[in-house]
Amino acid sequence: MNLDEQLEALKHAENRVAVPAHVEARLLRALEELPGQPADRRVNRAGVFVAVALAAGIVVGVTSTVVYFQRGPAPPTLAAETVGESVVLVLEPPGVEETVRVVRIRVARSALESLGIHTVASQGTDSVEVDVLVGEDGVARGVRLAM
Amino acid sequence: MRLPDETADADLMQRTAAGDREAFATLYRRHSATVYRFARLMTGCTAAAEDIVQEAFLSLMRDAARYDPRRASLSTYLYGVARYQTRQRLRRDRRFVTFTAGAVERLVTADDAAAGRAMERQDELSRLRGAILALPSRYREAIVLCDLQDVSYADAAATLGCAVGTVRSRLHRARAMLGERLRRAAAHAKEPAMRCAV
Repeated sequence: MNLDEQLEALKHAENRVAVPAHVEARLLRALEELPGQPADRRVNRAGVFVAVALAAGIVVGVTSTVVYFQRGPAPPTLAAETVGESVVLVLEPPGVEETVRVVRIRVARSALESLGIHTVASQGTDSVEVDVLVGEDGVARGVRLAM
Repeated sequence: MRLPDETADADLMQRTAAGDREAFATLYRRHSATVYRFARLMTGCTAAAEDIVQEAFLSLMRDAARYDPRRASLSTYLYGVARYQTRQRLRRDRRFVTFTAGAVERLVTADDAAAGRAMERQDELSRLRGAILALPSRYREAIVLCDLQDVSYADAAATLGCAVGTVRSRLHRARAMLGERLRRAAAHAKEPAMRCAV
C-alpha cells in the first residue's frame, strides 16, 4: 500500500473507535464537583444536607476501603497490602534473591480505577505517580502507590 | 428529555451556559468521539485521550457563556481546546518513559493466507501510527486533522492559529517525512534479524 492508501486505511480504522462509556460517567462525576455551576447558585438547605450526607458517605466508603485493604482477604491474582502510607499490589512475587528495580511512572487515574483502586488525584490532576517493581526479566512484580 | 439531533450547536451551547445538562450531554454525544480520536492519534495513548476528552468538555462547560459561534464552529473550538490539552499533556509527560505496546517483537504463525494478510495490514497500520507519533507535533497535527479527520484546510488553519497556506505546507512536509520514515521502516523490516521467543 502506498502512503495515501495507508492513511485512508488508518482513517477507517480510527472512525470505528468510540469513546469508552466510563469517560462520560467520569465526566458527569467531575461536573458535579465543578464550582460555580448555575445549578450550584440555587443551593438551598436541602442541597447542603444532601452534600453533607454524600461527604459523610464518601468518608465512610474510603475508611471501609482502607480497612478492607488492611484486614480483608487478598484476591487470588492481585494481592494488596498496606505498607506505611503506601499500598503495594503484588502481581507476581519476586524470587528470593532476585534484584528488583523500582521505576517511577505516572499513570492515568482511570487506569488504576480499572483495577479497582480508587485514588484521590494529587493537585487536581488526573494522573498519579506509582512505583513499578520490575524483576530481572523485565516483568513487573508489583505496583506501589502512595495513598 | 433527549434533545433532537438537529438542534444547532450554538443553541445547545447557550442552553449549556444556562446550566442545561441535557444540552451538554447532547453536545458530548455529538462531539466527544472526534475529540477522543484526535487526542488518541496525537498522544498514542488511550488513557491520555480519555483525560483530554474530560478536560475539553469540562472546559466547554466552564466557558460555554464565552463561546461565540461567529468566530468559530464548535468543532473548531473543541479541536482548539483538545490541542491545547494535548500539548500540555505531551509537555508534562516528556519526563516519563513510555512503554510502547508492540515494542517486543511477536512470533506468530499465520494459519492461512487471509490471516497473514490481515496481520500484515495490522503491522502496516501499527508502523504508520508509530511514524505519525514520531513526527514533530506541528506536522502531526496537520496530518491528523486534514488526512485522518477530514477537517477542511480553513478549519484546520483556524484550529492551529495559522494561515491556510501554512497548513498546506505543513501537510506536504508531514507526508514527505512520513513516506521517508515508512520506507526506512520497511527496509529495516526486510533485513534478517535475530528473533527470540518471549
